[in-house]
Amino acid sequence: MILRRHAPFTALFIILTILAVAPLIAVLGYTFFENGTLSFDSLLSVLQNNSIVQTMKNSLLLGVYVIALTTCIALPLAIIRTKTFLVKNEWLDIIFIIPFMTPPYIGSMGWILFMQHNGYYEQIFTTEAPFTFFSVAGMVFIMSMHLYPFLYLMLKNALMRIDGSFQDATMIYGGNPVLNWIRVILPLLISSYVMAALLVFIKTLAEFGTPATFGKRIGYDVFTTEIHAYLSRWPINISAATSLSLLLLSVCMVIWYIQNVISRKYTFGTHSGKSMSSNQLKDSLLIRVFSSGYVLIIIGLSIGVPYFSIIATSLLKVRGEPLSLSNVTLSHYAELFTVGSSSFTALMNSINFAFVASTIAALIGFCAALYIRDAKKKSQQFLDFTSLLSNIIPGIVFVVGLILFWNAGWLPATIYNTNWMPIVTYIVLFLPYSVQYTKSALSQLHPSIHHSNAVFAHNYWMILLKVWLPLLGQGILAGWMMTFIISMRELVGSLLILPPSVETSATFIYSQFEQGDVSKGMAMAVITVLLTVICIFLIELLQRKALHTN
Amino acid sequence: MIIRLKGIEKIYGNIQAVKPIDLTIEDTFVTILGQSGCGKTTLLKMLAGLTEPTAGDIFFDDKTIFSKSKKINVKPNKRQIAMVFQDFGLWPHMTVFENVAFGLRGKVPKSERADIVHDALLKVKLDAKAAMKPGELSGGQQQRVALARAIAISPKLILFDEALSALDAILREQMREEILAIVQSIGAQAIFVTHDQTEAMAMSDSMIVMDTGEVVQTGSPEEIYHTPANPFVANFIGKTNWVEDKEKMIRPENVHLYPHTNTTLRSGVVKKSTYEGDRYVIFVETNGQLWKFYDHHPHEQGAKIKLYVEENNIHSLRKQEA
Repeated sequence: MILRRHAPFTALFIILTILAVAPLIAVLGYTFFENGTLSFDSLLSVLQNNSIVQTMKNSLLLGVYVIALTTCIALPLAIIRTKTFLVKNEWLDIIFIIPFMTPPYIGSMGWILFMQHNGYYEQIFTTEAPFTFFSVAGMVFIMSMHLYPFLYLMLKNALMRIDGSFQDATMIYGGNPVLNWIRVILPLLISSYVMAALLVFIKTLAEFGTPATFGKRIGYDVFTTEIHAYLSRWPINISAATSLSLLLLSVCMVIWYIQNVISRKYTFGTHSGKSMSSNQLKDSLLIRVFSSGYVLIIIGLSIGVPYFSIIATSLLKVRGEPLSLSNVTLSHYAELFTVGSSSFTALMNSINFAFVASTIAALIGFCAALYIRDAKKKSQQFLDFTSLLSNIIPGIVFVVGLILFWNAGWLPATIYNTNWMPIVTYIVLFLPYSVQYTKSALSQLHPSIHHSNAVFAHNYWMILLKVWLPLLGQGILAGWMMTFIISMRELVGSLLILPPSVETSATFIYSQFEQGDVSKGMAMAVITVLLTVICIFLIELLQRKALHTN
Repeated sequence: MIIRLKGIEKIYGNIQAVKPIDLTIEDTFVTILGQSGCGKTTLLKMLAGLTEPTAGDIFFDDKTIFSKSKKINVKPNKRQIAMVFQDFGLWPHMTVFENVAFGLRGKVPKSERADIVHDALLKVKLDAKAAMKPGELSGGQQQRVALARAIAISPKLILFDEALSALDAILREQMREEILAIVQSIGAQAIFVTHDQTEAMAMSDSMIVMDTGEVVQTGSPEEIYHTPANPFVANFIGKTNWVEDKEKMIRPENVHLYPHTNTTLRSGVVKKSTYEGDRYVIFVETNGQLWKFYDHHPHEQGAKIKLYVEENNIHSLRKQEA
């Protein structure tokens, strides 16, 4: 009986352990154990290496710079979207998600194409750029243009929650509006801000796409690119890669811990009963012009420029010749969709892997979310934690772990060098999405739904078919789509774990950009972002519909 | 049906939510009354099978429903019970009809279901809304749907968890009557969990009063009102005048302005009068205690007043304990 009662947990536990925990243990084991004995040699030798210190410094500095710039972009944006006439334009948020969802390597390729010598900037303005874009500043700029939406959304939501009766109370008891802002709004905002900023930091550290494309050009090495180099450049040095992974992991864990402490200590119940006093906003012309202008500039820089570059490049007959109608061709797309071509095979591989991975992830995520519920029991909390691990742990660390684990000599069978390897990698990396989407759909229901099911339903199948699937279906589907699009264009894992001679769209774009036909690569990039944008709109639609019906 | 609990308790981590309880419930309408956090909902959920007791046995008549030692735990859907929740717990994606019919799936052939659902909806006067979704109904109507869902499966026992708390005062009183009539008409038993004493007294044949995880008193509403077992019960149910601090008490209606047989005199000073619509409650300071009694008109603040106390109705709490 005990076995049966714990069966769902045991099954989920085993699956998650093999998928997510075992690779991490493999990283630890490889770093600290040599021939069965504990040893710190490999870690020490890595730490003594001079270039590692530089790499660490590079990574951490990059994180700090990106936090600074994303704050400068996101805070005004959040204020504009909550305090001015733009408050009602909900669709703007969907637009702002696009740069965040655009694969960072595609974004930075767009910027490289735009700013490089003889690039679109020079063609359009017929003069050289007055500044050198190819520097750390440029890299910080590109990464901030990718990450600001994340900070913006967190800040905006915090500001919205502070509205309502808090606002009214401050109006009655407070004095000068500026002082009110400093005394009331800012302290309430600060915990949300610090949490979001630390997550931006982790995301910057974990980022591979931009450092691999742009960073490489300016010789700026960070954790992720170094780990990748150790694993892909001769002589291959696995222990250096695991030691670096471990360092990266530790930094992220420390930040995550700080973030947790802050959220526990300084999070206030900012739900103040009635929300949103939608007072009629009458902005002066100056504010209107300024806020619309600001939003337009940000959208232009984060979407307009990179998208223009990749679309233009994908359409050019001869690169380097001026942008004109006579130089436009669809041949790159035609080739892309030619059955049997390497690009078409890569695209189909991506779609297949992503489809299988997201379907399995959705299934695991659904079961896990149902089991986790409100995470009151220890076992529920444990499962919650493991299923969300890859939110805090950089993808490349998991990838290194997966490579080590599935190459372990004692395994009776391995998926290494098969198509299951990328699939498993995608599941591990993106499981949090399906868990979170299902959990959020679940959290919108009354808690007594669970009790209603227990009392009135004839059996589990009926609960599953008649209650959970119809009620959570939209959330599960949204999570599925999310996993699908991000699996489809995942780069670092694909570069390292794909079986020989198998390509995905991401590795295709990367290799064509680095040493091949850039236009062909960009045609693939356009297809990738097109699919991404379509999925964003569909997910948004689903989420709204779900909110509406409940 | 006779419901028996033997040594039922619940421990969450190191918090004892419900201390070991021995209890027999025979009456048709029973309320479990207590302040929030006293363990009353936990007790109800243990009866329903939604929460597993840490120890003890539960019997419905002779049948063991739960036994920790014998490792028996009948599932909620096999206990022949129904439940009505504070937040209704209706499935938002199903129509009213489907919500009510859900409990019949797998138990009653499809052809008979429609009639049963229709009957149940007729009883709660919602047969016209069968095709609507719960989200389109008012709070009171949703609670009726929840009630229809409960009676449709013709349970032996219906559990109400703060079922009326989410409704406004007028609706609540109206629903009380209806619930009693409907539960009686299907011949089921009902256990209500509530924190509202008036509701508890109006709705039940017997009451179970709980405080910090313990059952402190059981009995008919009258017994509990007139002979409370301890100061907590005395203060929690009805208004109390203390003769001696926490040892002897008398209810305000047994304190008068004029002498009766067996009354003793007590003088005091009027502190304030509050209007309750049908009468005034007069607060009087006497022997260092604040007393209450009822009158048809207010008394001037600070006026000296003579009170006549019915000696027979002074209830000693110490006697109970001895």
